[in-house]
Amino acid sequence: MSLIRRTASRWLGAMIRYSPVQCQDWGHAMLRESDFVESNWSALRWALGSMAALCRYSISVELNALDRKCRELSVKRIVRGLRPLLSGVAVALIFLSICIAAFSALLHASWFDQAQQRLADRVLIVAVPETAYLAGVMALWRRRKTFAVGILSSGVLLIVHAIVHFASHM
Amino acid sequence: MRLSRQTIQVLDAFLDTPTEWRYGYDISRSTGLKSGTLYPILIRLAEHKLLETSWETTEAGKPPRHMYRLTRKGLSSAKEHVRAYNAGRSQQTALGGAKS
Repeated sequence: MSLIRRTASRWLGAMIRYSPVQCQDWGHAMLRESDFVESNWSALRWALGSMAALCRYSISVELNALDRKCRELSVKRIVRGLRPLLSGVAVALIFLSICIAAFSALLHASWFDQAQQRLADRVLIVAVPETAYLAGVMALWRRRKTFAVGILSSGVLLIVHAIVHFASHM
Repeated sequence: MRLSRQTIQVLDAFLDTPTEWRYGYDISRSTGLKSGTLYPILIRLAEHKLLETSWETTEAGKPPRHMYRLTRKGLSSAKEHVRAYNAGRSQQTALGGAKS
């Protein structure tokens, strides 16, 4: 086998190895036929043409696969996937609302010392919810991970908000 | 399925020996099409179930060869398309002759 023919076969062989599995049969078919091409230069031209054909086929196969994947990622599926996450956020918000309501009730209580307002604010609106969120996340992480991520993200948002709030009101 | 002139050429080559299995290089020689044009056509025809494919082991120790043959659906489709193409061409020739 001449150098030109061998080079042509090697190029096409390399292209077959890197093409999608569905295309490889056709690649091998083209490669095998190159053995029957009479002249060396014609064999090289055959291999180059085959590489172009294989490249086009591989691209179309990859695009079809991508199209299928995009269709699978429909809005309905995304919403279904986000439902546990949003539930986690909702539960965290409900708990925070209860804490805020408790703080508000405390402020209106006759026995409450108004000088302790700042401390009560920090405990009821930051420390208590954050502790509850952390406990919830630790309890649910293994069994209901997405739900726990919802609670965790709410906790992170609350702590960031608290840090910004305290920093700007110091 | 819209067929190009080259696809018609390939189908016409298959119609020469409709029951026989043909090799890629053999079709390339009879149609004059290069591998870069021929194989996308063969792939498309096979995907549309107009062409059946098979592997043939010719010599021991050598990789098998891919062979192609029209399916029953492919045979009737090929006959129809080649006839329509030839009719269109003869009509064009007649019109060209009338103009000149």
